[in-house]
Amino acid sequence: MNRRRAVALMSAAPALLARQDSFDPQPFVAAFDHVWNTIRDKYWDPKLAGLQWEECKSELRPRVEAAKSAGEARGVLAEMLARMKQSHFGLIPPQAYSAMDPAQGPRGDASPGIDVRILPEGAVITRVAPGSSAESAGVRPGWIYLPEGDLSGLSPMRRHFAAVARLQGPAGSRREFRFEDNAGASRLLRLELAPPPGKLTRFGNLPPLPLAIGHRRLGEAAVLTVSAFFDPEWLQRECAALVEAAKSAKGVIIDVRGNPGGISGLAAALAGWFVKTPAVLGTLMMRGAAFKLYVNPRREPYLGPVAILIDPLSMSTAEFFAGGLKDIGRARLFGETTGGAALPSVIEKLPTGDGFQYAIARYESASGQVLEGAGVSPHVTAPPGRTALAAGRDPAMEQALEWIRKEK
Amino acid sequence: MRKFTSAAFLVVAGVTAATAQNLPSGETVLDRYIEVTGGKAAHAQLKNVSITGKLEFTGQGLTGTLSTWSAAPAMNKTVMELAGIGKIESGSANGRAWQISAMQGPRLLEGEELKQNLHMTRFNAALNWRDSFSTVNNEAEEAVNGKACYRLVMTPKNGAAPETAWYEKESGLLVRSRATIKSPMGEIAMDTELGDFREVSGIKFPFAITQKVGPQAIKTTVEEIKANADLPAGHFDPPAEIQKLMK
Repeated sequence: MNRRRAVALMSAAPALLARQDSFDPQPFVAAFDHVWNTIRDKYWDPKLAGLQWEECKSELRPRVEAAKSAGEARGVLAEMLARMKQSHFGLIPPQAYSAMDPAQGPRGDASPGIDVRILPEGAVITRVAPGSSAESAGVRPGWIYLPEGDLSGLSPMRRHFAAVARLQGPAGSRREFRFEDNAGASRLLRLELAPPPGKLTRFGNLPPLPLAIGHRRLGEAAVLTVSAFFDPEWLQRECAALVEAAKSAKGVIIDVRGNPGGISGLAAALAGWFVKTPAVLGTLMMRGAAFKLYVNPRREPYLGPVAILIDPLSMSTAEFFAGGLKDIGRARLFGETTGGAALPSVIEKLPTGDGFQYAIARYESASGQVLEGAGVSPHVTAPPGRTALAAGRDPAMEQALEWIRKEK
Repeated sequence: MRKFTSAAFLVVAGVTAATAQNLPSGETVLDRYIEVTGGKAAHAQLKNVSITGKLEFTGQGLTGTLSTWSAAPAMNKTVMELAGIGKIESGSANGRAWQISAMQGPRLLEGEELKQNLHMTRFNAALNWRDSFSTVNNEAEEAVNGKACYRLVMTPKNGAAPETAWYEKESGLLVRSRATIKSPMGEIAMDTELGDFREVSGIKFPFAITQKVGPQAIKTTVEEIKANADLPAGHFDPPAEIQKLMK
């Protein structure tokens, strides 16, 4: 090292040290304590799934106290939550909120308008949004999105979310994306990012998220698509319209593929449009309380055939809904086994600005089945398939329509 | 040793017996509550009560508003509006009770749920406790939030489940209650804590109410209470969707 560089480094050292010294771990220590105490007091299983919770604190708290950066401190909290080895435990970083706050700039969840699913071939495009820059550039279902970085070591679900994250960015920005088209050729396209369709919806301490609920007629079925279980008033309006549309149809299809969940009670709320007598979709077992997901039948429910479309990204409340109606024999399920992330949870805000999500209950179906880790299996397995997608087909929807067509 | 032990036991027993004998009766505690919150005359002049306030699901970022009206002889209506959930309405009159929300749609309460609802929404419950309870037992003195209280167990006359209530020994105020709420969702234990008592029209009402069910808590901050307001005719009539169910 020459003298000039040494002098530069020594001059910079105070500034470097100042940057490290300026990080105050105390908010993260307070956050750690809140997270640790909350799980100890509110996790539905008083035995904390066999975890040595005191030892966990003894081991991890000093690491937060000694953390030199927010990232390091946050990593320790995430490590503690990962030890629960269950869904619905996690941190939502402050950036996730600011990225979705229109007051703070362009939305951060914009994308070129493609949906992907992890299939044996990779991140296969299942849908291209009409009017999107991807559609204009000739992107088609069946193409494979080739994200940067090696995602092969990740589980399919983590690979999916990593691929989606690489598709997203600020609305209005333009980026290059690499694909393999349906002829096997490599394509590098510069695409503009636009916000996803749907109404930006807020609920509690969740970051705002786009919500799309709608019904349409497709062949001999009335189809309801629910992207997430929020906005009860919107959902009920669409259900009322669906039931009206179904009067001239042979059946109803409810598409909850890709639905990550939402308000637990909406599973029962939606079910109420399809049953004639009161029912129970399952029980939420909390510490000190057990709530049945009670289904109150609507005054004029639809009583014809009901098909539900599910896939590995159908999670949480979507699983309560699909699994619950399957259990009581009211619906036939098509597609793929759901994600098995079926724990009711709440989200609090920590002193650090992070959202802290934790499960407060275990869901048991009416037949006593625990869906966490297992998921809901369909009556008819109908995965998407690259060849079918490239041909513009939707196997799960096709199977559901065929079943409805044959039902009396 | 035996003599000392016997004497010590007697002393302990004597103290215990004296404590049990010093507990006021449940009736005394409830009558005192009427007095410390304004007195019989003040309570008797109530014809209706209107309450507005704010709701918060503690720690979850879920907030909303609450408006509730109750009137003699036994009418009640409550409207809650929660961000992201919408409006939840409920009411009772003429021996019938109902609920309506975007989540559940319209529903008439029946059976045990109806019985309990009518008991819990009775008007001027404090003044008229003798009409509602067949037995009221002061079971023990115990602390609530560091203050000595009397724990009463009260059995409703209409067969609804017994409820427990804690009245502060010093102030005589009701500070906590516990009831098992029966509904189609199951039997759910709910604890309610009351505080920030303020006088309105000569009667003390709680302006801070926290209800706890399992790991969740709902905090109500009362903003305004009106006694004997001019309520419009038909104010307690159920919504049209409920009336269709009633026919």
